[in-house]
Amino acid sequence: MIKEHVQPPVDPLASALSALASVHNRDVDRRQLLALLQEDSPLYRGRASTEVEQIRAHVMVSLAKAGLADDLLPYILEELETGTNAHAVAAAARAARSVASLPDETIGLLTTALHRIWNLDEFVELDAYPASAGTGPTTVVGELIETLAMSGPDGRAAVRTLWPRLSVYKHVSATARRLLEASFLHEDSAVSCCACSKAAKVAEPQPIAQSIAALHDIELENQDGMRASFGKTFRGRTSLIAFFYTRCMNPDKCSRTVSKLARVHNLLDHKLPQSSAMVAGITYDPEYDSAARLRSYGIDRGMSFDERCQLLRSTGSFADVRDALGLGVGYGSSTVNRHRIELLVVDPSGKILDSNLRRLWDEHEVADRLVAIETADTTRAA
Amino acid sequence: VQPEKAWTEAIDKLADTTLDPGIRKAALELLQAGTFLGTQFAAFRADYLAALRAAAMDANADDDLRRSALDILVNLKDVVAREKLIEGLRGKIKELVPPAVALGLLARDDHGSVIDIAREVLTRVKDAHIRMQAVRILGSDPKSASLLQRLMQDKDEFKEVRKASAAALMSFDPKAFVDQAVNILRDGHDFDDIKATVKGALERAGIRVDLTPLAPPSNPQE
Repeated sequence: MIKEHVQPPVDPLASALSALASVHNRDVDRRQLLALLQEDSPLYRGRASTEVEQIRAHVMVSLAKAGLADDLLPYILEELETGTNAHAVAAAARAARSVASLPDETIGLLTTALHRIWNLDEFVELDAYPASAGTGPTTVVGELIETLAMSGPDGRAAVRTLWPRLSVYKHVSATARRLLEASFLHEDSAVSCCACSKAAKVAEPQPIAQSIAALHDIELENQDGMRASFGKTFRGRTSLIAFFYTRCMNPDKCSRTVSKLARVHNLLDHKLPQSSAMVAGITYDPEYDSAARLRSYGIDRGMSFDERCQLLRSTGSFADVRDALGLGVGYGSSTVNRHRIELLVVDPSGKILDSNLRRLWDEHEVADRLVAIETADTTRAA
Repeated sequence: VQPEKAWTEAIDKLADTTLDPGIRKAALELLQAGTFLGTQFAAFRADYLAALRAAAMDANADDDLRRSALDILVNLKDVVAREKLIEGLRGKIKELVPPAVALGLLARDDHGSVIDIAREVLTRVKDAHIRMQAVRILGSDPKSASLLQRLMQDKDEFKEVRKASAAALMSFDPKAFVDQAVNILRDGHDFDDIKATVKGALERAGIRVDLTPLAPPSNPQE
C-alpha cells in the first residue's frame, strides 16, 4: 500500500512567530513581515478581538526592534489616536520611540492616548507571545509616559501638566522618571529618542482600490429594506462611503463615523441644498446588521435618512466587497475582530478620488470637499 | 482618609493565596468599590488586575472568591481569563468553574470567538444547563441560524435548550424564528409549554401568524 504523504496544515501563528523570531536574519523578507499587521491577515482569522490586539502588539514591537519602525508609522498613529486596547496602545507608544522622524502631531496624540487609556491601565507583555502568566514587565501608561519623556522638551512639558496625577503611578521606568524630574527642575537635557517633523511621511501600507466599478452588480439593502445594486445606488453622483458595523466596541470608530456621516449630510443640505451627493455607511457585518438594526443605529446617531443618506448592507457575501476594495477588516468566529477607519470619496463614474484610512476625519473638511467636487462637475456640465 | 494606602494593602491581600478567603474577598470588594472613583484609582488598576488574575487562576482558592474575580475579569474582556476558561472547557487545565458557568461567562463577549467551542459542547455534552449556555453563545453568530433552527424543532432536545435556541434565533433572524414557530404551533404532537413560549415571543414582537392547518398533500393517483 502506498502511503500518501500529507503535509500538516501550516499554523499561521506558529509560522508568524517563527518569522518574527528570526527577523534579524538577513535572508528573512522583512517587508513581507509588515503584512502581518494587515487586518485581514490569515494570522488573525477566527480569533477573539483581544487576542488579535495582543498578537499585533507583539508583531509591532518585534518589527520596530528589527529596524522597521518608520514603516509602522500609520499603525502607530492609528493606535495612539483611537486605540482602546492596552497592548496595542503600549506597542504603538514603544514603537514610536524607534521612529526616525515623527509627525508634529505625535505629542498631542500621545497625550490624548494617555487621557483615553489611564483608566484602562494594565500590565502588558510586548516582547513575547503568548505571555506566560498574562502579565508583563510594563504597563500601557508606563509606556506612554516613557515615550513622552523621551520625546524631547515638548514631550516632557506635556507630561509636566499631568504630573500631579501621574506621579503616583508606580510603573514608570527609572529612565523616564529621571528625565521628567530633571525637566521639572528646569535642567532639561536634549535627550530625545526621535525627532518630530512636519515633513514626516505617513504612507498607508494597505491602500484601497482605485474604483468601486467592480462592485456594480452587488446587491445592497438599505435601512428600510429597499434593495438596489451598488451601481444603481452610487453611479452618476458623487458619493461619500464609510464602513462600520453596529457591534463595534470602539466608540471612536464606528459609532463616531456614523455620527459624522449624519453631520456631513446636514452640512451638505446647508451648504449646497441642491446637492445630489450620496452619504452612505456600509456595514462590515451584514449577516447581523439587519435593515432594522441599521435603522435604529443610524437614528440614534442623528441620521435623517432619505435617498441621499443611507446605511446599507450587502445581501450576499461581504467578502466580495471586502476583496474588491481591499478593505482593512478581519473576522473572528462570529463578527469583526479588528478593522481600520475607512472613508471613500467617489466620483459619479465610480472612481475613488480620496480615501481616509485609519485616521479620524473632519466632517467640515469632507463636506467642503464634496461641495467642491459637485460644484466643479456642475460648472463643467454648464 | 487616604484610600491609596488601603488599596495598596488590599491588592497585596487579594493576591496572597495563603490568606483566609474571607479576608481576600473583603479586599476584592474594597478594591472594586475603588474602581468607581475612576481617576483616583487609575494608578492602582494594573496591580489590581494582576491580583484579580492571581485570585481567579488559583484553582485551590475558595469558589466564591474565584468566581467573583473571574466575573470582574470577564466583564473587562480580560484575555487571560478567557484563555483559562477555554483551557478548562477543553480539559487542558483543571476547570476554574463548572462548564456551564464558564460558557455563561464566555457568552458575555460577542467578540470572544468561542463559537467553535459552543458547537463542540453541543456535539458531545448531554447536560441541559451546559447545552443551554452553549446556545446562548451561538446567539451572537448569524452563521449558526440553521443549527439553532434544528435545536428549536428537535423534540428530543431539552426544553430549556429549545427555548434558548428560539430566543437566540429571534435576536438575529426573526424571519427564520417565525417559520420555526409556525411549524411548532401547527404540530399537534409538540409540547404545550414549548408552544406557549414561541406564541408568547410572537405576541411580544407584535407578529401575527396564520395558523390555518395546512391542506394534506394531494395524491395524484386518486
